[in-house]
Amino acid sequence: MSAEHSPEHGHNKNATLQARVNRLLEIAERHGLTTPAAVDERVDAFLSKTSPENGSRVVARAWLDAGFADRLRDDATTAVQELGFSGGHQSDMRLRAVFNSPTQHNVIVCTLCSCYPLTLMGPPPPWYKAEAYRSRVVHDPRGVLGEFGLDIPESVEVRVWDSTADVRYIVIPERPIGSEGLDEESLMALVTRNCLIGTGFPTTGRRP
Amino acid sequence: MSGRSDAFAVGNRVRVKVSNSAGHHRAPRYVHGRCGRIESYVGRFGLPDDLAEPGRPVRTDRLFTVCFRAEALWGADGHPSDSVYVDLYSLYLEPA
Repeated sequence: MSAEHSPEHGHNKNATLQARVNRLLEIAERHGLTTPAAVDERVDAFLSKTSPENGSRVVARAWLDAGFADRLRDDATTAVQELGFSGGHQSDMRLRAVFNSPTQHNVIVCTLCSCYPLTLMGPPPPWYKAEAYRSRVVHDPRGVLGEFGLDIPESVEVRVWDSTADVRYIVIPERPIGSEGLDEESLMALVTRNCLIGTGFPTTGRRP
Repeated sequence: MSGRSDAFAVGNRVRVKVSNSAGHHRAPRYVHGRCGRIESYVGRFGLPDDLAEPGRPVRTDRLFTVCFRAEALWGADGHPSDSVYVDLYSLYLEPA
């Protein structure tokens, strides 16, 4: 066991965690509590309901339906249920949609771990879980967003949402120029996972 | 556990208590001792400090979203327009 308590660098920590999970699984299987097949089935069932496409659909619907956008702003937990989604994997988790505007940009983080709305965004990308992003985006959001290729004008207010507790956040980006007349599926294709986190802008490639 | 009191009404200023708890705690260090404004009330939830300890009775607590101005957290490094919003239980807060 002593090797599992080696210095805490990112990849070592992941290796330690993986070893710990494997050991727990071994013990659970040996005592007949579960089987590898049952574990795979549960993980697959969970992951099949989680996808950034779900979040993209929420955004596209908000762009097309002002009533839905209003309901999303007021109570996202209830509004996304209209599309068959839930905000969190726990039943009492709250979802909050934060809307970008010409004067406001939103970006989400979990400085304590890697919380975000899994069902709407899929498993978080490695950088979202990395200490570099988690520690820097609260302190220097404009610098971090610049590294993602987002140039936030001085006149725009940046709001960083640190999901430390029972709320999960989704960013609703602004509808891009050139997307007029597109249907829901076509709009969804413009909305990447980074757009839902606030580290990307949807774009049609057209300039004003 | 305090009842619903004016101290934690939306719009009020609060300070995050400084804590060096060895147990589970979900107030990030960068807001300890910092002042912010209650932006919204989320609801009442099981306190994570208790939920993390098997066998410990779980208290419920009111959860608030607190807005901290970047300058209040980072001094001159903070952009004057920017803010960080953090979800904090009333147990972690005191009136400021």
